[in-house]
Amino acid sequence: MIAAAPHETGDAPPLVRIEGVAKAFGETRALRDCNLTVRPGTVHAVIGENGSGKSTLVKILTGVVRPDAGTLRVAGLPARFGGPREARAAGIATTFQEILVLEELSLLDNLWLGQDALFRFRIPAARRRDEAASIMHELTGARPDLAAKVADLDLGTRQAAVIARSLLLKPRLLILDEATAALDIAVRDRLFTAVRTRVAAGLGVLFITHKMDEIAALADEVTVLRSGESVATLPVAEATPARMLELMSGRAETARMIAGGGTSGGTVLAVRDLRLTAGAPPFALEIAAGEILGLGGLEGHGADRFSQILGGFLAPAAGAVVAPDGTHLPGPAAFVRHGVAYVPRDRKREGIFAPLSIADNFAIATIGRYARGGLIEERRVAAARAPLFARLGVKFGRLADPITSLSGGNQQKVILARMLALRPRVLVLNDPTRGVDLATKQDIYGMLDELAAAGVAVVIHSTEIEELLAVCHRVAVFHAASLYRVVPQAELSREALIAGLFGRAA
Amino acid sequence: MRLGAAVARNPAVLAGLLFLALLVASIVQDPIILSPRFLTGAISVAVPLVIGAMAVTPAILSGNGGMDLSIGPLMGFVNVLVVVALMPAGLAAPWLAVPILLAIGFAVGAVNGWLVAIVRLQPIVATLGTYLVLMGANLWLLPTPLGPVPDWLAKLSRPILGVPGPVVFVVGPALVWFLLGRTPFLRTLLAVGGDDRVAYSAGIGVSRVRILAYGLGGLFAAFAGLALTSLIQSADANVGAPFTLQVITAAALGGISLAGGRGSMWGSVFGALSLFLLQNFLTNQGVSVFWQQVAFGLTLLAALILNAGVARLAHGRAGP
Repeated sequence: MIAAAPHETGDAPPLVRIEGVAKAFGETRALRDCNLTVRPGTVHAVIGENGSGKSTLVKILTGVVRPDAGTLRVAGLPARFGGPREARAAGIATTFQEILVLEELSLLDNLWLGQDALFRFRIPAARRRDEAASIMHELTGARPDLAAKVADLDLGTRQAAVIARSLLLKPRLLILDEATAALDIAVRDRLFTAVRTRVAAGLGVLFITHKMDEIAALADEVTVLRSGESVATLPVAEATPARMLELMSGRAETARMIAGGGTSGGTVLAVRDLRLTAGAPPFALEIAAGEILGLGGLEGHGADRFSQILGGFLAPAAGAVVAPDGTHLPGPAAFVRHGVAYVPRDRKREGIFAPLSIADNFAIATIGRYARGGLIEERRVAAARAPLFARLGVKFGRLADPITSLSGGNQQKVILARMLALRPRVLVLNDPTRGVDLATKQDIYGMLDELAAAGVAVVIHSTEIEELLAVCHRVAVFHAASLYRVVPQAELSREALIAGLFGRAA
Repeated sequence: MRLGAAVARNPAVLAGLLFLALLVASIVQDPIILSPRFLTGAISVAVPLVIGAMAVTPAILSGNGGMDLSIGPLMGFVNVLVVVALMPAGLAAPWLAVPILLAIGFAVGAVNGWLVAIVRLQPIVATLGTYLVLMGANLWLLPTPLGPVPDWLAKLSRPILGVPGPVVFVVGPALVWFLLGRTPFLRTLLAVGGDDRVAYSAGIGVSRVRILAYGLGGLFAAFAGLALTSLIQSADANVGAPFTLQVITAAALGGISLAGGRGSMWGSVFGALSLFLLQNFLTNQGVSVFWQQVAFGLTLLAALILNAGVARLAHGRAGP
């Protein structure tokens, strides 16, 4: 690995240098040969497919796991962390993909979590409040209510809070591990500004993301991981999306990821006079067989809520979801009977059954269909499962392994297979590719395309504009807790969607 | 609705209201409860339960199934040690006996914490183990009840300047908890109890916090054991164990979430006082001991349901 060599004549010693690091978990070789150098005052992006070793890399730098081989140097000195506390002491702050907050504690306590000794405050109360307020204002643009319980804050604010927690540590190295997933665009831009300011003052950033536009916006150089090996480090100018995709998987990206034209069949599901929240303007929308309808909007503007309502997961404040014949769908059971399948957003809490096996996680929604005389016939489960797993390309060790042994992308595929086994007429997906690698995304998009061609109505809520552009026939844009406009296929463009997000006509 | 929000924010509010309601009911039933004589006696009897409820609280708050079943037998162990070990050894003077017993209480609690945090046993099983060990030790040390107790403990059974003597033993745990509330420890404990992965990733020494939580429980249990000794004026191997389920009931009644990370010490105190008032009220009504048990159980369930219902109402959440 010599791609980084030309930079090494710089005067500043590297902040972190990883050489030949390897780590195996049982049979799985998560990292084989990872080489990476982060210099102070730079943003170093890491991109790679699911299972390419990004999470393991972060865990090593955070002290959660210890490498089997290779060396880790921090500011030129060999380092071997026994735990997150030691990594923190070495000046490394990490914002994890999971939003690690304590709901029962106040925002203020969450922001300063872990900064005190057990019996002694290291920082005076007044300074805590001032710094916390100023950093949350810097990130969100709003005056925070520091005394509020985190349980009462929305997802975007929580994510801003965990990033703020890292920044309050005033680290030398900041690791952002897919830390922008729940941020709306305004907050993400503020975060990037905040990071750039600190990078200019010497901070080094290890930036792990699936989003190419974020790399272009923030990174100075990019390391591509493939199957646990760092295959290349490029300056960002050379890291075009096509080049990165090629390095990651050899696949070339196509802007449009679906082939089907979205020939609209009859209406399969409609909403009438629906209000997302009390007092929000009502709206109507019809969903047709064979279309892929996108739901977009800034965080908290109603797209997430609407997808939960369409999935039968949440009741609207007013109005109803109705079948084509006008009958109301009153509760989750009615949605299921009508052929609506819902893939929730929060995979960990609402999607997987953590202690259960891969096989059981697949079969759980359709378990009654495989029984004869009350007993489950494994053969019939397998007959339903095999084609779906093959089509989606689920990668797993053994079916009896717990679902948590799979990567996030493969977990999502199992959940998708579970819902597809229901043979739905309407498939509602709430942000299905969050924290999922590009190859898995493409597998999922391909599946959606096939489903639509077969006449299934697909509704997909996404926080990524690129995704809405790539896979949707129509996009319903939400603004201020109501439907702002439906962008038809002919008018689908980045500009049209962004304008809609901010409540302006294109 | 504002009350609902207050309860959702702090479940101790519900325990406080329950306490007030029971207090009013008790006074209406028989105003004699307000006479100094009765009041002194009643408070003395309530003290071991109150401190015991305080003792079980840190373990529950520390999360991950946090629980301490050994509180009752540990109270009994302290009671037995006073008469069987300290008095014969000439260590019965308060300035010797109190520190020794508190240290033993803390040590037993810390062993519980070590079993939970380091050996990683399920708390309910680990502390069931110490429960059985302590029960056995108590009976081995003292097969039949024995008295008397040291003079200073005997004196504490009577009012001092109008204050019931055993109340002295509440001061210790209350002060310790109050002071800890002014350090980061309490919030760190709530953080660990709320989600130990979050705490760990933030660099908090999760194991150390849990061991200290159980140790504190043992320390408080020793205070409760001293209060119990001054109350009953003798040593009895079987006197402690029944407290185990009572103190857990009191804590749950006080809104301490058995999932950890949520609840306050006031909740446990009000829970214990409510339990005591309820017992007193039912006894005065001539309700048999067996039906009293049923009443405790139903009150506990009603309080938990009410707590959950109010919290849901305040959050405006439907759903599963």
